[in-house]
Amino acid sequence: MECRSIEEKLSAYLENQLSSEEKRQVAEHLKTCAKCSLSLNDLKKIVAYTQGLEEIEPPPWLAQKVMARVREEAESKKGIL
Amino acid sequence: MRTQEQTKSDADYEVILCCQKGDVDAFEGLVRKYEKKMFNISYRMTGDYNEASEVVQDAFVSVYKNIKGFKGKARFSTWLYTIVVNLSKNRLKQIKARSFHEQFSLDDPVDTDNGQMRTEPVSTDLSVLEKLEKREIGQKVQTCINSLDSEFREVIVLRDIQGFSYEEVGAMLKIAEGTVKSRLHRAREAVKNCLKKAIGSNY
Repeated sequence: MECRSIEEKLSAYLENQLSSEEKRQVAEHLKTCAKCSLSLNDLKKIVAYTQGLEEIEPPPWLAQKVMARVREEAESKKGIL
Repeated sequence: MRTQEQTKSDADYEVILCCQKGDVDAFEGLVRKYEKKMFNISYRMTGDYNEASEVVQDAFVSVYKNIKGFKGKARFSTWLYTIVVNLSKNRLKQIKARSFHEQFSLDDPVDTDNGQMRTEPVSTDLSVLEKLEKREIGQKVQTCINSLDSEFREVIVLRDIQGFSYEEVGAMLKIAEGTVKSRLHRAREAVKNCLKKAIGSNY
């Protein structure tokens, strides 16, 4: 298999999303291809960075503001009925 | 198609029934439960704290208005996240259109949380440095995510940052799992190339 078609499968390979045959082909290729092995390592880093992004706290007033709008909406419906 | 039993197994089933009968307090419970996740999805999609705050408010109001029509074909949380993703995408289009028309100047005020240049003292504490490094990398990753087109941005936000399964991402975006895979691959490649430019080969 050519490097290009292997590289396209590396994301799925990393997450165990390939069929067993595809997985075997990629694994075989990686044994002898330094370029694709490097790509796999790069990919692992990127996924680790994105997965490592911290959760952001929403503003403390958010739920209150949402509920003020929701209650306004509920009242206006009552008014119509 | 989900059966009635599947719908009942939705963790929010009882609360949704109350909301559908007009119980506003029950709806507040859902808001408190999901606000953080909704906010984080929108923040990573729009890349802007204030925009995300606005989008999440609009999303919950939209959910409230439409909750009577929720039939439980998808899990309630999936329905919620679909709404916030769509509203974030729309907001993103508006932001892009706006920034296209606006020019910025080097004389503009420094854009920090409080509008002031940061003047924190230099610290030799390694853990602080590590934290700073992590934060800086995080900011660069977010900048790179911001540079993606929304169809690639949404898959990386939902899969890699929020940790949804391929199936869940496909359901939220109404695309096939194969499409999720191929877009994710391209999104990660683009972020990789962007980070290489931003940090150098030592990223």
